[in-house]
Amino acid sequence: MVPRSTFSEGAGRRTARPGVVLALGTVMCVSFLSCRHQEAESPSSGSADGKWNRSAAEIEYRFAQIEMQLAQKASPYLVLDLNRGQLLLKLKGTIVWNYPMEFAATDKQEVRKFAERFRDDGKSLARPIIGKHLFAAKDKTPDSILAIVGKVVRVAPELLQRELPEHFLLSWGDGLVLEIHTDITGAPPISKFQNAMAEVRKALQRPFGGVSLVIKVDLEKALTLYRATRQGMPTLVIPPT
Amino acid sequence: MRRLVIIILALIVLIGTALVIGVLTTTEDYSPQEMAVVSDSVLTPLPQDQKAALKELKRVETALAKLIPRGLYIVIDTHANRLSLRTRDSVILYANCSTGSGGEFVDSTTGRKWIFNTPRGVFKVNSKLAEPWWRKPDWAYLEEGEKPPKDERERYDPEMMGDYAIDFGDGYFIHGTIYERLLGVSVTHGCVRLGSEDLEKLNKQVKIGTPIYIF
Repeated sequence: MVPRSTFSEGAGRRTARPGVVLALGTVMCVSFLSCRHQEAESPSSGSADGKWNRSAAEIEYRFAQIEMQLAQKASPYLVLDLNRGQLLLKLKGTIVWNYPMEFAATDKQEVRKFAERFRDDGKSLARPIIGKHLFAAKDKTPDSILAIVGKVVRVAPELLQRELPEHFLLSWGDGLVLEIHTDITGAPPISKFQNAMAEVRKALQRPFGGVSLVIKVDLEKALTLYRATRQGMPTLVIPPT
Repeated sequence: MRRLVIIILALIVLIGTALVIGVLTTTEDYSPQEMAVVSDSVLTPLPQDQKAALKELKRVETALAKLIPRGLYIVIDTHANRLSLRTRDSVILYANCSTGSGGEFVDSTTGRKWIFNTPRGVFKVNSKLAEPWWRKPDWAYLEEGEKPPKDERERYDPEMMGDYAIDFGDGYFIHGTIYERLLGVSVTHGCVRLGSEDLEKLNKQVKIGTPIYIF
C-alpha cells in the first residue's frame, strides 16, 4: 500500500512557496491600507482636537518603541492594560492570552497609584517581573493517574503534573505587586514560613509606597498565567485614563 | 540578671533588624541594567517638529498594528494544553489538546538524544493533509526496545494520526489521536494532538499561511 500522505515527527523541513509569499504580500498591503484607515480614526497625543500635547506624544512614542522591541523577541511579554481592565500575554505583538481584571471601586485609587509608581514619571514604561511566589496550589491530575500515563508514554509523572494555583503573586520591585486568587483551596507547595515571609515583605513595602493589586482569575486561566510568567518577563503597564 | 535581659533584648532587636533588611532586599536589589527591559539606547527621541513627530508616531503605531494578524490565527497554550482559533476580537474554537511532554530519550547504544518539546514561537500552516499516515521515526522503535526496520514501508502507520494533519514546519503537526482520553495532558513527542471533532473544525477553517502562535 502506498500512503496518500505521510510525515515523521521531527524530521521535516520548511519550504518557501511562491503562492504563500504572494498571499502574504497581499495581506500586508491590505493590512497596511486598513491600518492607514484606522489611524485616521484614532486620536493620538491630543492632535485630534488640534492641540499638540508634546509630553503625551513622547511617552506614547517611547511606549510604542518599547513594544516594538519586545515584539521582536521570541518569548511572550505581559501587558497590564489598566485602562481597559485587561491582563494580556502577547507574543510578537499579538494577543495570545487575555483575562479581564476587575477591581473593586475602592481600588481605583490604588490602580492609579500602581500605574504611577510603575512608570516612575515616565522613566520606566516597562519592567521585568522580579518575583513570583506561589502561596497555595493543588495538583491538576491525581498522582495515581499520572503514574499510569507516565508509564505508557515513558515520561516521569512529575513532568506531566500541573499545579493549579490557589493564590500567587507577581512583583516588579518598588513594592509593586499583583496578587492573583482563584476559587480552589490548595496547600502551600513549599512551606508556611515562606508564605509568611512573602506577606511580611509585602507589608513592609507598604509604608514606603508599595502598592498591591488583587484580582480573581478563573482557574484554567490562572494556570496559564502562573506557568507562562517567569522572572525577567517584560511587563508593560497601560495607565488608567 | 538585668544584664542578661538587656543582652537578650539586644539580640532580638539585632535579629529583627537583620530579618527586616533581608526581607526588604531579597527580591528588590536589582541594578538599573537588570531593571531595564529595553535599553534606552535603542529608543530614539521624537522629532522636534510637530508635523514630523506626528508622522513618526504614526509610523511606529502602524508598524505595531501590522504585527497583529488580520484574519484567523491559531494559539496553542502549552501550559494549559488548550488550542484556540481566534481573530483579534473573538475566539472561534477553544479545544483541549496535548502538547510535548518535555521528556528526554537517549538511545543507549548510539547515544542519540531526543527531547520531546513542542516548539514555541510563531509558525504558519505550511500544508494540510487528509488521512495522513505516520512515518514512525527511529525513537518510536527505540522506545519500545525494538530496532528500526530496514524496509521503509514497514514504518507507516495509517491509524495513529487521525483524519487530518496540519503541518507547521520542522516535522511538527497538529493532528488527531487514538488517545483522546489523554487530551489536556502534556504527553506528546512534540506534535499537537486534538480530538477528532475539533480537528475537523480546525482543518475546515485554517488555510495555508494561517499563523500559529505557540507559547
